[in-house]
Amino acid sequence: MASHQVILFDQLTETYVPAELIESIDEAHLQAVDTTWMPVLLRRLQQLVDQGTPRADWPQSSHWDWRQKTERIRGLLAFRTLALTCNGQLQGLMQVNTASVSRIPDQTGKHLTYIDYLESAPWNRLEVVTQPKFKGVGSVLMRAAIEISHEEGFQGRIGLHSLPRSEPFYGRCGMSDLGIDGNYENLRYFEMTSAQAATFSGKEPL
Amino acid sequence: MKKTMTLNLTDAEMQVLEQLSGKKDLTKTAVLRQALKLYQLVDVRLQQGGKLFFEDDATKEKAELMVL
Amino acid sequence: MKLVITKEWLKRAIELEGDDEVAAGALARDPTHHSADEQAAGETLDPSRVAFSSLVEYMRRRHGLSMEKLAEEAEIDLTEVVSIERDAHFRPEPRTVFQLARTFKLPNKALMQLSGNTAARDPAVYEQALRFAARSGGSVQSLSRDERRALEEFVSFLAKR
Repeated sequence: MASHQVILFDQLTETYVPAELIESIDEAHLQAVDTTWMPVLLRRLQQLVDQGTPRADWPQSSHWDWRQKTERIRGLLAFRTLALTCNGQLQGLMQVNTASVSRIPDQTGKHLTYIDYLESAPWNRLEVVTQPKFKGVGSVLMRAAIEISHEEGFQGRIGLHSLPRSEPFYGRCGMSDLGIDGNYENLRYFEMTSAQAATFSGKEPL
Repeated sequence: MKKTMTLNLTDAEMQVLEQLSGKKDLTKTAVLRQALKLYQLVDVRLQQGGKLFFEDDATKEKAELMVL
Repeated sequence: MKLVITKEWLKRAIELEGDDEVAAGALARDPTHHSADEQAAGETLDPSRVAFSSLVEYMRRRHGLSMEKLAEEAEIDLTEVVSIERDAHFRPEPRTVFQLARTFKLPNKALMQLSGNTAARDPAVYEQALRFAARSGGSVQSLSRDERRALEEFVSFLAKR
């Protein structure tokens, strides 16, 4: 499968480290979710229960069945999946839909790459561990979604529904906030126009 | 990774392709690739036992689209 | 796809990320479902719930499953499994109960009652749960022979319901 050399930032050693972006989620990645992600998540959930933390404060996306997701879209041209690894360890997963369209009023009907799911490994998340390891996983995957958008001829346009705790980040990225989507679990829907994508990608000065 | 194919289209088909291309701000190739994705999606869904409808926004009337 | 990530770009991106999570996508859980938080921690425990909690843990272990595996097989959220087993105040979603009943081959109605999802309709279930809850105590892992027998009786009782 096509793979790309990228970099991530290791917060614990304060160094930039090489990482690999693979253009398809495979069996090894799915097993890595089971054997490496889930136990860390489980420990944290047990901790939260024992502490009596209200469920509203629990980490979001604690159980995304990636195996089920990839099964559902197997062989379908409209969907692409990506995995991000570092030192052979799975750091992030993403599924995108390249048959989606923009909802921005003056560009409705224009195609974009929609991010179906985006998740970082639990040890990279402040919600789960006190000292997250890698930074940049989400940003690198977003860049990948933008590049896929370009590849499809959509000029970098992307869209996504944000989990509540990610909303500030997407705002800072310069995405357009199209409001809470009552048809989608009341999640907030964001889009990047072609220009916003170019800015985010660093192709234009801020 | 990419394969090449030559396509023979009628004048009418080419015209539609060009219209869509302009309207959707996509190259002609991109339009056809999108069409292929959608065709596959619809096909899979219909095979799973669904039906394809258009729903009138105002009247909520449904009109079935017999495609495949 | 062309993707070039430079250090300069990553540095800026990380500054944007700050401490925030970067995630996207539907949770596929009922976001309006309120469960444990409805009940104050100090409230007396409903013996049905205690019974339900122990029952799930027991059946899980009997099937040789870890919590993650159970979540996967029953197609339920891992947070539900953890909460059910460790928080006796917790009321699981109806769908979760249905899935567990199916996975463990136990009657759905009885489990719905035990888990606090439906009002006690079957007094016998409640009575057995009471008896069972009184005899089971700590973790299912360290069951005495009596406690194990109590569990097995409870399960057989439910299976016949």
